Amino acid sequence: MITIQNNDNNRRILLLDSQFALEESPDFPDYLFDAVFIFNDSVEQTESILNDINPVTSQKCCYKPFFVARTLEGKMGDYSDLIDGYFDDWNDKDCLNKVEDIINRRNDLGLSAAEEKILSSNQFFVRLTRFLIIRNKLILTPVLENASASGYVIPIYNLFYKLGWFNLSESFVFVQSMTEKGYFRTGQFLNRIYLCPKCQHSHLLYIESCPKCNNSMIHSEEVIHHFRCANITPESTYNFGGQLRCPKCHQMLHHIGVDYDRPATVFTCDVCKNTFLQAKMQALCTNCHTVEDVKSLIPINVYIYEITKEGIYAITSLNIGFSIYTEFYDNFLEFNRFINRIRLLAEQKFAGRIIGDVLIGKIWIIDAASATVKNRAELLAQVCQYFPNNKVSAANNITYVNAIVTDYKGDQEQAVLDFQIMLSEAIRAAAYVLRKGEKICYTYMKLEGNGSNIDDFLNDLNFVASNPDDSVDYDPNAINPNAGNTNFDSPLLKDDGTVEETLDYTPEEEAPAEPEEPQTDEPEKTENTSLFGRLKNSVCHIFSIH
Amino acid sequence: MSYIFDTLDTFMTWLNHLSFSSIVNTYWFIFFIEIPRYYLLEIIIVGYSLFTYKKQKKKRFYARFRLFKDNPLITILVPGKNEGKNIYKLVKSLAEQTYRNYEIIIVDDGSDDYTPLICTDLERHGYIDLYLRCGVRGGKASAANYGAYHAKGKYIVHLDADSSLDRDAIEKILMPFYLDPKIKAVGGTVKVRNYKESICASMQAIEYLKTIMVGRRVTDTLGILHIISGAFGAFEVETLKKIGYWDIGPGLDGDITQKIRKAGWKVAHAHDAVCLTSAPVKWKVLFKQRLRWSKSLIRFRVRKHRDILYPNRNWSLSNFISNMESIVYDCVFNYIWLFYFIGLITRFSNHIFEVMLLDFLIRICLAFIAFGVILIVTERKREELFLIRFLPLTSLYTGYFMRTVRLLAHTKELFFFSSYKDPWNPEKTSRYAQLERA
Repeated sequence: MITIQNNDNNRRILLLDSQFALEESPDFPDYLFDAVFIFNDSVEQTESILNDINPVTSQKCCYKPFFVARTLEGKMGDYSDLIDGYFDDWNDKDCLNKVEDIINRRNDLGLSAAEEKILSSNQFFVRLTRFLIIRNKLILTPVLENASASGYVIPIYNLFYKLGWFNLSESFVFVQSMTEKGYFRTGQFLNRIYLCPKCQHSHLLYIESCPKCNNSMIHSEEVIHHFRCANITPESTYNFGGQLRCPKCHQMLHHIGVDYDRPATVFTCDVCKNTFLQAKMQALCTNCHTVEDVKSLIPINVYIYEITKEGIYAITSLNIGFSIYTEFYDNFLEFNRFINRIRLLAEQKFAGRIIGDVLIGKIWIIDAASATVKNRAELLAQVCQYFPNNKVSAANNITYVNAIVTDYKGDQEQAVLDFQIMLSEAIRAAAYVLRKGEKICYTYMKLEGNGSNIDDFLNDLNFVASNPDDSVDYDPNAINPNAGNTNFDSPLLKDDGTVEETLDYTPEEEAPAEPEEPQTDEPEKTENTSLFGRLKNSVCHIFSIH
Repeated sequence: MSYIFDTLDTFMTWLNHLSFSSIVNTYWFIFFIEIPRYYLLEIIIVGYSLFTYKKQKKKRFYARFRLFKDNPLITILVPGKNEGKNIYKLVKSLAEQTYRNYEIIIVDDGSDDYTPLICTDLERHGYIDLYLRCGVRGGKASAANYGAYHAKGKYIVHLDADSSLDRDAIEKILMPFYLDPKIKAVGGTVKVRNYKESICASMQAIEYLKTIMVGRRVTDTLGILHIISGAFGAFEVETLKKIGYWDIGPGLDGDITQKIRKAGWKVAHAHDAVCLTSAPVKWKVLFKQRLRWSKSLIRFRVRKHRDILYPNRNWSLSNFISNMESIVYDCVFNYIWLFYFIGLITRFSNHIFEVMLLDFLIRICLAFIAFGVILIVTERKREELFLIRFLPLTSLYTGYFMRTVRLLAHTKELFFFSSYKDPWNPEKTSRYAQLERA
């Protein structure tokens, strides 16, 4: 049974009592309900429903309040972190308040109730952290859990790990990078644990083995030192019929510390007969069966983490991906790496291995006093989205786009012009980041010469041009093309700030479109006409400025 | 100034009316006891070995060939306490050896510094093959025995942690085993590494050259070698096992040599297997070291192994001569020297200065002769020539300092058994050694 009911506050509650393919069902779009109530007395069934739809990974139920039947209170284990309450009636006073609280808090944070499908573990972690922020669970306490892979685990992480949303190393990297950015703060130190270097599992068996042949069939024996004759051999050599008798001088041993001593213990390998003082300690991973020296295990400090204020701000902002992860946009490069790439490209170009031009577009914002302003994450994110096939970097208040422009049909100038057009469009799409009195500009640089001037060229990257190729002024009507919907294939902005419905357009430097030639290919006519129109607008705009 | 000239003048006039026979009569100790043993014998033996050099060379060539064909595993055994800082240097010098088939066993006799850390690290990185550690100190003999028990090699090369070897030292010390199958233990030539550090060290450098490089070569040729240095000696493992390894010291190197000789085997000296070691640089430290060494003569040769001296048990001529030689020359003649010295002072009380000066001059002449022999034998003449400036002091060093130390040590040991109280061994073991007179 699945149905939608209004509660006393006129919030729509999705009621369901069995597993249902909600994500795929066209009958229940996300805007039809505000909260989810699962009526089922069985723990197993409720859990399997929650595996499918939950406030973290579900597209339609994202961040929405989840309730289950009161009979399940205290029985849900790790799943209890996903549940906002246990009630018999959705009109229960507490339940009504909970729904309002959660919805209000979500709205305060500016988060949408519908999210895109999770494609990467980073996206998942962002979503999970947003969920925790909405539920005001800002302290993440790892607990000892024998069924978990890493021994110490944050319960809600463990739940999703078991469902296969990420692997362990990804979670370590996430928590570490959040801590580095200051979005998480380390609290109380809990323990230092050692993990398998191959699979990061903590379920290791520690094995003493022979340092020579690595076999663990070893035995240890005490050594006896007979003071009188300085004989010092293993205990077994002294054993004569249950008595201790020195094998060298055949005297009986009487009193430890007076006539004999046990100064050491030695190990002997039963396989290679090697003797050694310290057995080699190895760790056998019960998960991946790797045998490693204990010195190569990965040490991890386990802390209690707390999400900081900056973390709340950064994670709930729409362009979170960029500001935390360079890998969220895989075309973003840190500036030093970007410079290295340009150097490499320059070497290849001057060696004749690159046909075409190496271009670098520079985009920057100037304020009313014509001074450049600090890089904005939103601008960078927009540029990253707009040039998915180009490397993008940012430094010195400038955002850079690198392109290798080749036109195999011989019209190289046209190819360069196409890149300019794309830059023009990009700054228009990013115009919403401007504040009053500001202006966004771009220019481009072309790598020329014979390689001797590469340092000058790289030096020039640090400066903006006094006369940009194109610029866009502040427009109060400009809107964020991603606002409310983080789907990146969003409608592009036209020059006047209105949204134009356009076909999927992916800029490609290798095969630029040819605006001058009308296409004869009939099935693609609509697309080409639209493309042609856009490019024409942009070209006109460029010439109107110059 | 005029006083010096006056003194010299008196000395010369005194010298002028002396005849050769009266000089010999006065310094009978030098002429009848020291010169025949320490100078004449050495010159004859060194001359003999030079004369038979070619024959020896051929034999040695074949011995070397057999050694490398056999290529036995050697155990390099280094017992010591708090020697961690020296181990790396030692291991590095061993890595340079021409003979490659060896394992290194370091025995730590209850060190209380960073030695365990250093050694376990070296073991982990494969620089040493086995690191053994006793939690409580048991004395050098027990440490050596502990290591020897775990030795896998055919021969054990026993080293001190502060020694370092010439590139071919291991090869050279193993060669005598292949020259004569009856040889079961070989001693190397020990020289002083820090001979430039102080006068004390330089004097010891000369002494080591004379007593070890030349002296042991002579006793070896005569078949009466009575000690193999603990700093650098090689032993066959089987033989060591039969004689029960080392007994408790001090002076356990002399003791084990005696034991091997008593068991009917031969011992040899490899004069060209050179090991450098650090000598004490302070007189006080040297004094204590020599007291300890000298005590072992009484403890082992006179007491423990006195059966060698009895013709009715376990008697062999060479062992008897070997033991007697060291007892007589190092102990008995020392007491005789004391009486000779007192006699000299009382007889010539009015000419005491002249008598002592002449004694000094005679000894300097003899020192130069001995140094000539050293230069003939040594393989590093240039370094040895540095020591020539200290030769005048040797008469004081060996003639008075060493004799005094020996006299003191022998008297202490003979009458007070003081070696059993030496802190060089832990008290628990010394107590038993004294009870057993071992």
